[in-house]
Amino acid sequence: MIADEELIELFKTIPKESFELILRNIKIKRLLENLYNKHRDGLELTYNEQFDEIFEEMFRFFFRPLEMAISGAKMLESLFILSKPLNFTKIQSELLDSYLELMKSLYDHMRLTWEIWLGLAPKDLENPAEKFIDLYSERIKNYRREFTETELPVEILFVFPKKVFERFENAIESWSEFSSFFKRFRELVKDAYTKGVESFIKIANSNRFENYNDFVSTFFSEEAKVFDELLVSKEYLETQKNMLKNLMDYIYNYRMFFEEIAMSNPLNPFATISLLDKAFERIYDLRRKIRELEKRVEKLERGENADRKD
Amino acid sequence: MLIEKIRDIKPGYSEFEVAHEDWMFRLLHYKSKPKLKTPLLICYAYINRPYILDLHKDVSVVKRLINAGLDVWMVDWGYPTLADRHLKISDYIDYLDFCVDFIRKKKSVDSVTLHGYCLGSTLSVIYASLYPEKIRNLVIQTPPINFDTKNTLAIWAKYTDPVRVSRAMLNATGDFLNLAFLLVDPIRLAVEKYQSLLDNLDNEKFVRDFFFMDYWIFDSPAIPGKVYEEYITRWYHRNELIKGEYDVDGRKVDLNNIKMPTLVLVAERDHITPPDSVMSFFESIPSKDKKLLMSEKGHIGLTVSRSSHKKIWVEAVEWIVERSK
Repeated sequence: MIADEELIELFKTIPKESFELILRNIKIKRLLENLYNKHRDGLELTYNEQFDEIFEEMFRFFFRPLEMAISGAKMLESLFILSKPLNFTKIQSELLDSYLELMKSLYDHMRLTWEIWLGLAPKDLENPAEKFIDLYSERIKNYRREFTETELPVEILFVFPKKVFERFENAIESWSEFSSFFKRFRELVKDAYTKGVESFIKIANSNRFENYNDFVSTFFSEEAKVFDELLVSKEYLETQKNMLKNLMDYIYNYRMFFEEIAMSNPLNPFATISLLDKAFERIYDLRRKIRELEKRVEKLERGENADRKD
Repeated sequence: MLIEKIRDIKPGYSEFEVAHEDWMFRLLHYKSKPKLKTPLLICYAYINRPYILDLHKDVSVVKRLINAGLDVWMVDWGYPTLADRHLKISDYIDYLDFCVDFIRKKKSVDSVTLHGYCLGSTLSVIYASLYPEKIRNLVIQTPPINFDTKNTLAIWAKYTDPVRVSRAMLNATGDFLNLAFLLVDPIRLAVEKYQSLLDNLDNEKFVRDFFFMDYWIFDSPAIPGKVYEEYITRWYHRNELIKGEYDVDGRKVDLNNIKMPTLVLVAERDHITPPDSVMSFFESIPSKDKKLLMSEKGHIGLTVSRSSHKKIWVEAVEWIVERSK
């Protein structure tokens, strides 16, 4: 098997997908070897947690990107219920300010005590850069006092344009639909896998496999058979279609939600993906026109009819 | 140790120079001393990378073509980014036309042999229908021309809404495509294949072949969003090409123009483009000099298996050489 000490080098050298699939298959192999040993020792196989573990290792690679989408949506949900987090942030910020003041006083006290103990006049140790930063911080603080008294947590619902809420609603709705279809997708895959395991157990308990290779190849062949059937079944196709559709709608609306917020803020210095996309579209249109003109010029130079399109 | 066996793996064997570059598209020219008159241009798919035809010394189709005395060129469609989302299939045809003209001018010939692979075959058939006078021979390998087939991937494509994918992700990313390509046969491709690797860790040849392939499989460029929309909608959903309904910027693609010598390479166990993807095309084209070679391998095995190189590629290269003098 692969030695522990070469794992890092392997991770750096091979595609990350290969690396993950190798690690998962190492575990699958260990589990299957364990099951084979039981079979070899004459024990009857039953569906147990080892088969569940094999399932997880087999399909984690496929489930993970979809599960990531679900956790992304949880972030969206918590992001928009803003009044609580904002209130919390405000309280935290005030608490932090008080704490910083306390620390600064403590630091000044320690510094002065240390300087007196060393017999140094405070101005001898004064760093001009630090002094300037202190002065500037004082200046900012004065402005803060005058301009930061808003009740943003209460205002939040009226700050953004309506489109932001529409995108949010669409994203949440697609996410909810996606979650249901993903759950069904997972169930279908698990049911098929279980069916394959049951069929394999039946064969294994009524035959004695001479070696490990025959044992596992029968297992894989039984599994492959049920999956060949599942992946083109009507229910699977409809589930996958709806899962993908809702995932795509969720991703799109999630991005547009942020884009709408960014575009509604005149302080935003960044171009959104949609703006860039529009610019790229125009660049490609212009590029095609240039190419067309170049072709016409070439034809004219060869003395051909430049209006002919070929 | 495993790492010692694979540390130096670098896919791509034959030396080439970049003859032309246009944003992310490149025209590659393989270094050789050709003896045959007609140059050969390889047009690979815009999924995955073209070096599969030159993966390593033992299974390089490019090397085999060069050794037969052919002057080999290849289009590299590059790695599309967000900036390339608005590329269209017609842009690919346009660059193919540019490459053919570039080679014709450079080599002072009227026509070239066009060798397409997978979706590169689809582009090649479209091109050969539009510009038959520039194509002396057409070679298409595992070509999808009829998209109404019963394989899982084709069925999934019919259940996919490409506009939604392109709107959300902008391009159909390599990760997204890889997931689909593996999920189509999860037990064999994500489990059995890796179990074989674990059973053969001491077999250096096996391990090296395995990783040459895996490097290629996971070196997967995105498909530009608008190309993905067009290819899924017009080819998979509507099957426009075989029905004679497909057009490029208003120019009808007429498969009756495929009158040039045509060689079709098909893989019997192909789960991506099964033999049905090309049979009706092969039977209906008016070419009087046409040949179909069937391999018992799969979509990629046709190119990279040693047995294919001993058999089908010997025949295929002979066919090309005979028509390139």
